[in-house]
Amino acid sequence: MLMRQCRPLIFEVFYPSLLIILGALIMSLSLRANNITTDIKLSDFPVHQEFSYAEYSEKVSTENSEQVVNGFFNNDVFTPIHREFDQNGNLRYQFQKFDELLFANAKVDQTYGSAYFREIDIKNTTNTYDVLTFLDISSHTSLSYFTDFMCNALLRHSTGDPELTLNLSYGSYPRSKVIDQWLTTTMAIMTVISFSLAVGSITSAIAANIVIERNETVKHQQIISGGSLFSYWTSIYFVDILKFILPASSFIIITYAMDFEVKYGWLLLILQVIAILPFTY
Amino acid sequence: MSLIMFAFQMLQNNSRYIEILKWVLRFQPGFAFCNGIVQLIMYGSIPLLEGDIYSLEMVGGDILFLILVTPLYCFILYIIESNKCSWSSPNHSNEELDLDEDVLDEERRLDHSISSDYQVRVKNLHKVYNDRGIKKVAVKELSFGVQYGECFSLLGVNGAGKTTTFKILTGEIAPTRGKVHINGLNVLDSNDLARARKFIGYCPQFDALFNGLTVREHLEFYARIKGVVPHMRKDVVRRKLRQIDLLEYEHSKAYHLSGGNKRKLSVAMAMIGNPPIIFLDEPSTGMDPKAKRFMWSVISNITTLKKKCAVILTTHSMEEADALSTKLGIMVNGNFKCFGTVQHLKSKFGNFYEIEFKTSLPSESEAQEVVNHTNFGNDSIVTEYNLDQVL
Repeated sequence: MLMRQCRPLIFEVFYPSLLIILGALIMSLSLRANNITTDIKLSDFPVHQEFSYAEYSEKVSTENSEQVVNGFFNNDVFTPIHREFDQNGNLRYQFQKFDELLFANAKVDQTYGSAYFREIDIKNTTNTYDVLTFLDISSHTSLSYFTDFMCNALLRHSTGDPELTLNLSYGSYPRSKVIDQWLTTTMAIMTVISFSLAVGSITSAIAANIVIERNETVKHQQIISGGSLFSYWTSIYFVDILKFILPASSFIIITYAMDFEVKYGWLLLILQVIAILPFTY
Repeated sequence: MSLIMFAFQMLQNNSRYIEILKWVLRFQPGFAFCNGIVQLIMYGSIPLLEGDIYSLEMVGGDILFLILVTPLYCFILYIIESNKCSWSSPNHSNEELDLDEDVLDEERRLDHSISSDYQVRVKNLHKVYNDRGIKKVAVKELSFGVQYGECFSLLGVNGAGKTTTFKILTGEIAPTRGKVHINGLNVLDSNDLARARKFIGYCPQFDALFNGLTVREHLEFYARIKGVVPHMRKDVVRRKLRQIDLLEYEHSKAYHLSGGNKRKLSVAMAMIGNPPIIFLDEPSTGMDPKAKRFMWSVISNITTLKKKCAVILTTHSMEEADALSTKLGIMVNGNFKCFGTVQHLKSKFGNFYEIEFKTSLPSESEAQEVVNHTNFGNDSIVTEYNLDQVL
């Protein structure tokens, strides 16, 4: 019976398998993406941060940026590193270099700090601090550390007391339930579309086979020749179940390989295979 | 559907109607599956989601329905398949038909017979198709009987009712009324039909072949269906291949066969296992003259030599009916216009003689001389325009 039509196997097995794999991957993405929890306690954050600073400043009046960062960094947490990307002040070039530095370091150490103090200009005459910094906003800790550092640095510098510390805690606000639900819904819809197309592809190919057999009187000839309806449908049922083995096993392997929290999706898939075939017939 | 429901649910959370609709839609396995996957993703993604994931309101309901609908749909399939041929109406026709005396004689013979007297006994078969309120009578009060050793041809133009009669005989469709017995078994009864089919070999009008199977595999498949015992199967298939002249194609896939060879294979499939009753629906369609005559000799042999087989065939070709039939019925508008043996019909309705001869290409005058010496009359004048027809 498996040999009755070979070409439809592409749509009955291979194409649905690919869709099932795609759906399972989307499913895993949705589950994994939402498993990242953001703790707002600073103690849980990675503490070591490297901040870069440039010596160059066109507007230095009394002190340059190096004096500020060296004087007020807490070296247990922050490591200031002097980097001069461009002596000529080409801003575009500095962006590029900073970006390259970030991603090069992020591959090695994901806690790598992501602030580049290009210019700190302290104007004693007007009691103002002009700070120009590049921040990598893709690092979810950089913003809070930068703010913490800047507040403390400026506080100590302005008061002249190197022991004075302002303890600030920041954290990203957790995604609300509604937002989370919408995000998950999007992923769920994509997963279900993928699964539906896969299952739909198999069942429509199976239905097409049955219609062809009926139109071409293949089934009728078998029955008239003495074959029993029970044998006919049972053989077709088991052959069609075989067609689901590759897509279903792909799904099961992926769910276990990805270590989903809810692993019983395979139960639904298997039950659905068993149920949808008589429905299609 | 599950996505639409899901969107509705997002827009109108906790709506009672959506919940009810979801329970109804769970009868569709695709919906139950997709809904379950959505629930699993939502539950896995949102730790704050309340409730047990396997409760009936969540994935548990989908799992339950998937388990329940499987036997339900199997049962529905069983009902549809097993009951479709069991309906018949006891009504009788009031329509007066202008029937030929031979047709009425056949009806009278059947009236005085019992179902087991004939291998195929058809009595007052009537079929009306209802096409959107328009009733079309396909078969009108058809009666005939076929015994072992007989080859009965249903002859007629397209739409005469031949194929409908065949479909009723094979149990594909139910008649509006009438009786059909095969080997004494009433084919309108589903239990008898299954038993009657054990005696039937059937060659459909269009070749019902599996493109991926070879000629031998087709015959082995049907030998299994016919119940040929395993140790004899190989021999039976080989003999059938030789009988139908398909031995050289035994390992060719059906897809690669010519139209004529496909037809031969269909006939071989009908004949394998030596069924006592064979239905052939236009068996020689698409065959070249040589293959056609070979096929006729095969059919004729199984009918007449062993006298253990009744053959019913449909055809458009008078020549085929003449070559094969021991009796024939010419169908017009659902009933027999005439009925009887070939010789009887020729004697009754034949006003002309038809002569067929083969010769090397003669001149016009030589051909005229041949015609003149036949003594069948002087009406046939051979000219250069009809020389080809005469030849």
